[in-house]
Amino acid sequence: MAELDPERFQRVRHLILEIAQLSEDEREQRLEALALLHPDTLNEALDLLAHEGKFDPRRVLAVSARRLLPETGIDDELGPYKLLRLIGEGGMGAVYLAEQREPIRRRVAVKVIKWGMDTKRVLARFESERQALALMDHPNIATVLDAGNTQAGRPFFVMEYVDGTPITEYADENCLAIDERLNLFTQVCAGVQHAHQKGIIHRDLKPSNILVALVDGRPTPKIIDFGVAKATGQQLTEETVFTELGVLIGTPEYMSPEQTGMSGLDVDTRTDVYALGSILYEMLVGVLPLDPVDLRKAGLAEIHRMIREAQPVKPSTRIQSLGDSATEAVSRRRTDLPGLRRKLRDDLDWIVMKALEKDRTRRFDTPKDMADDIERYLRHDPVVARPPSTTYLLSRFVRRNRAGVAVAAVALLGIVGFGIWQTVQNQIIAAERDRAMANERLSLAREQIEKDPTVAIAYALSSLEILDQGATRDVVRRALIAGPVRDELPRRDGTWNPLSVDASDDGKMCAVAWTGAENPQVGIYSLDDLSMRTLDGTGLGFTYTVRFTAGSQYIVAAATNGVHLYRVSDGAHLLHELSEDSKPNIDVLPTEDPRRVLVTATAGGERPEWYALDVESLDFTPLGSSLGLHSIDQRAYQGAADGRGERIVEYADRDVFVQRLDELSIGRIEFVGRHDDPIACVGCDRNLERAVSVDVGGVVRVWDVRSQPARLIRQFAGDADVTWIRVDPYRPDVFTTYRSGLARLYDLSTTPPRKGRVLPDRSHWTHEGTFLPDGTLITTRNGLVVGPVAHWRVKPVVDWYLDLPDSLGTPAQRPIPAPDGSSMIYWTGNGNVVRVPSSDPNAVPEIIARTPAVTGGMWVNLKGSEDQSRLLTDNSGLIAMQGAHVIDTDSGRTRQIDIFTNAHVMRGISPSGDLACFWDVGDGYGEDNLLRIVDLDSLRVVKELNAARDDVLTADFRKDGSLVYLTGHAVVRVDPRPRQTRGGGDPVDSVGPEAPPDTLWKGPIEAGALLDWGRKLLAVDGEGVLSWVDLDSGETIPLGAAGSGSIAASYEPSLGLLAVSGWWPHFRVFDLREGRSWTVPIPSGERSSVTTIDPVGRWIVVRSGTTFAVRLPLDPIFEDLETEDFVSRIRELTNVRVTPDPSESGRFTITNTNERVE
Amino acid sequence: MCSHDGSDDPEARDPNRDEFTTILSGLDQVEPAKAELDRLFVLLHDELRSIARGQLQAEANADTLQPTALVHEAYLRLVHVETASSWTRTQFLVLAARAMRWILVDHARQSLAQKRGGRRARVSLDEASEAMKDDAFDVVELEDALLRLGHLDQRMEVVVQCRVFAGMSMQEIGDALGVSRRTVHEDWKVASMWLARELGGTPPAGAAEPRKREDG
Repeated sequence: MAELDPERFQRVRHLILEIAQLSEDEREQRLEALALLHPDTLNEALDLLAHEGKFDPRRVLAVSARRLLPETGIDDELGPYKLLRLIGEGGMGAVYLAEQREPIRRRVAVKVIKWGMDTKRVLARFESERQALALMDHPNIATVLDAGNTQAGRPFFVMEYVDGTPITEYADENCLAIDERLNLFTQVCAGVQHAHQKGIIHRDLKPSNILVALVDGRPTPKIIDFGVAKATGQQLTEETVFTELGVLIGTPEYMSPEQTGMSGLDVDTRTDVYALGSILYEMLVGVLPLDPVDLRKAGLAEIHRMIREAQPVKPSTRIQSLGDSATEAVSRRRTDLPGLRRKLRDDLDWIVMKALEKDRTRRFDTPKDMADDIERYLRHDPVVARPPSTTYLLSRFVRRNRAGVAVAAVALLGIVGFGIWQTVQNQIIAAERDRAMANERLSLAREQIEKDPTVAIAYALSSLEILDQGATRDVVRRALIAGPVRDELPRRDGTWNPLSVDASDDGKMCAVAWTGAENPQVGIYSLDDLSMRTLDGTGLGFTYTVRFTAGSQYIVAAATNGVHLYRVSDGAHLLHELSEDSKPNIDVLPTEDPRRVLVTATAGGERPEWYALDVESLDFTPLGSSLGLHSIDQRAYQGAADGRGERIVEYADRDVFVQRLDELSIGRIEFVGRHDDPIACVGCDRNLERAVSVDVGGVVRVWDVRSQPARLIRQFAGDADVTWIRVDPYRPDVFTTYRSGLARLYDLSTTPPRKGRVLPDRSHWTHEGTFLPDGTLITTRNGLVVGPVAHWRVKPVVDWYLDLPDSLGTPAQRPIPAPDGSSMIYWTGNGNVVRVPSSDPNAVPEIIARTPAVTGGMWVNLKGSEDQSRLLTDNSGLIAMQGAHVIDTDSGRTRQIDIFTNAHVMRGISPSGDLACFWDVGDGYGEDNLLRIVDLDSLRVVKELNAARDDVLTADFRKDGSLVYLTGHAVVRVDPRPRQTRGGGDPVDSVGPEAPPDTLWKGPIEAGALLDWGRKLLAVDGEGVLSWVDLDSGETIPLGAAGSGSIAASYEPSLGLLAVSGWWPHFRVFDLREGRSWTVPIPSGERSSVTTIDPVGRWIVVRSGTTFAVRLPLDPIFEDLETEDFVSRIRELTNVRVTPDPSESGRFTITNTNERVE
Repeated sequence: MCSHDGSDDPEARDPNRDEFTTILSGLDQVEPAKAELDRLFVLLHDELRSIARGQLQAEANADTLQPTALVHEAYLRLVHVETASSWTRTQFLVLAARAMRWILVDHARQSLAQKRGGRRARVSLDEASEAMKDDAFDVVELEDALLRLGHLDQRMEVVVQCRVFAGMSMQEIGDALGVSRRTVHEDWKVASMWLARELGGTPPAGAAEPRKREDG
């Protein structure tokens, strides 16, 4: 292709626009002509057209507020240190090269810890170790020199500056042989040992903390960051492991089991030994002991679990399972694969695995012990890490004294007994082989998770007996929630693009029409074995629709040269009608009557003619012409008929209407409704109770057409450029729309309606699809010339998007449910307060009040009194600096609270709706501790509450009218009502007796939420462990670790359900009555934010990104993960027993009872 | 300007708002004078960061933002919405698109530079920069592709810029550029195909086949 220049580009542009206007059929036909007309640009245009609709920069451009921030609070100068330049940025913070000017002038590295870590605590921890740190003096340790905090309060550390490369990188870049690597590594051990002797544990050893620099021309590893991990209290938490985008950034790979915080054990020197084991493993094998890909895919709990449970494969085995990547690793170690394996086998395996023992009492006690063992290996002495075995000692003896041992060895063997020796050896080999095979199967299982979960599960379970259960279970679990999953049916030679597809009634066959290299073809797939047979294509024109008749005895095909009828059993061609007709656009619509098929034929601009075909007698009867005058001409007929073949739904321009076929002659129509834009296609269920129409702009409307006049019962934004709708014949509530590149499932069976999954098809156009009785879907996928038929194993049960009429505005912040669950109320970005009934499927959302459309629509908070008769919204975003609005829901009256001069966050509205509580944000850093109570009738501040030296984290009213607030140390109850005042004066001057604040609960927390009208506390401690506190009874239920940082939670007392979200790409649901819990991943992988539980338990609202996500109903959540369905599905797939794990809620023990598993 | 950290009351922000609205209203062309543009840029740039910061502080869960959302928020803050004409709004968005693009690209380039610098002299990097690298790289890639597109068709570049970085509607872009909505549509259609290809979308199987047949 010639290089594009502006002039050529313009010609390509014109050509693209010309081709894009053509229908698929025309495109096919016109290509040759176009090739002649535009020989030099056609290829370019086609190439570009293949990329239509694929430009989506949203992910790339998504920014987090955090990342847009300037480096505030960092000055060029921190005390005696002048920052020179940024040399790195990481999960903990940024590292700068700096110059120290006094007392001595030198270059140092300054690590500024990021926001969100408690400065005081960090510095206190650091101070406690400062003395010890100062005592360290070792050539392999970079000294930590100083610590302090920036003016803005961020802690920083000053370290000796090392201009070096991480040890693993250094070794690879310089192609160090194994022995050289070991020598380098023992120096690291020496450094760590020195620190341990001074009482310092590193806690965060990893290659990036061990830099190799040349000292006097010798490569010398230097360990950096001593003291930093402890001071910052670094734990394996969500905070340290995931970024705000849910991207894993921390390095759990080197963390020891005791650092997962689950064992209740503090770290000790053996923690560093574990990390050294990981590093040595990586230096030897080139990969980490625990597959980082797996780790990074897992959620935090999963990471914890893997670190605690997953047994690494020993280096010599691992190097063999690496495949291609081993080649690189091997050459960087200046050996070959067998050589490296031999080198690693036994001694080095044992040394590494001993360091990596999950039980720390079985590790090397000290780094020195580990180094000593490595040195023993280098000297060919027996290593300590060996398993006790005479043959081993013997073999070392032989290696050291190769020459003179032959005779002695034979003699010795005679004593030990050759037979025993061989048996032991064989057992070891056999176990080794089994394990390698099991590992292989498990990795196959991982590969299959996305492709075919069934296969993945089968593979995974076959490795269950040999491998660690955790890893296997993880694969099974992931396979069960994976989706959508797609199979491609085998494509037959000579076929090009599949256009039309239809499934037989029993779901065992599907008929496909292709374009073809020679002839158009119609074929039938058996979905049991995926075999395919073609029907006689002689005389068949370009075929764009194939349909089974009811009962699946016949196939009718609509082609450019007429209608064709085939018998399924023998493939016989029975009929060819409309062959002389000049009407190119034919459609076939089978009815529930096995004999009766409706056929319609339209010539451009003319009315569709209707015919009835009797497939038994082969009678072909004209019925008359309907009124469907389609504005989008040059297309096949796009109407739909009911199952009995009595009524049809059609469109003409913007109008949808229904017509009885027996009334065609009298021209009577029933008008259904109108779209704002031209309609693209319509569909209906088999009883024609509901019709669905989509316009070119993507507005989907669902009409109740049971009676006249028809009613609009649903409207939402769907995908634009939809070409076809198919209603699931088995479930009238479910339908799919098709457009190039995607099919989308909709499910109307619940309220609000579920806009279902998208089946994205990036490399193909989706042309048409059909449902199978099992709820899965088959689609045809078109490339420019060839494409496969895809089978999507996805059911439309999961949904994430709440679709509401665009005209009302997009929901901003969380909807609040009415107490009886009958409706929910939300505020939209353009100022509408909307109530959506959630019980009546036909109800339409209504606007109950309006507030001005004000700034920052994204951050509006809405709260309601107990009976929802009064709502409160802060209308300028989260910070109500421009005043909040009080809305009386009955009258729709809205009044503005505009009395603050400072930013305020709305905290709550009293049950009776007469008082509201605001938190004075003050300077925006949340340092302030004032709560202001506003009387919502007079709109005046009636009371100020000072939480005395403590930050108020949150506050809420209780049903008795009292106010509770949560600080970092306590929950306090106060009386929010104004005291008796002298002549209605300033409340601050008020006098009179006042009940003293009542402390309901005490204890330090990092974050928390007050729920159930201030009766319950969800507390997160410094370790990220959740506790559920009943503030009345004092009863506390530990809920386990969830991850630190702020949380958002919702609790539904009537159900005992608690939903918690935070800085995690999932949310957690606790069934507090049953003691169960679930972790529900957010499909997009984004962090979830706010949750609301519907009081009747049908849905949970989760905001993820800026999207409102609604999961409906609640049950499918559980279905995905556990419950009977989950269990029976595993049973069905395999012969395994699944029992809930009593020790850990939300987990299962899977026991393999299938003797035959391969 | 340093709003959102105590001086966040309307009074403190108004002068800038006034200035912004005034400058904007005075503009009568897509390419305003350099000095005015620079001044608007500064205001806008600060404001976008301030919004980011505000959201971070206001809600610990500062969600992922789309640049378009930021731009619209900035508009609400910087312009007297009540009095602003739709023309002002359009002008603002055109500018904001440029500013946003500049900010994101600048940011991405910085991270990449850090990444490269960090390879030579690394002091305890976590793997964060690894994780950020891809996105930063993508942004820079997008920018490079946009510049190349601009060489082929300058208007297309502006259309994409307005659409992607400020979320402007086709109509708004058409108004701003003085072309019909349909033209913008077509520009966008072709440009997005071109960009998708440039940014490494794999062409579907068989994409080259028509040519083969013709040749054969």
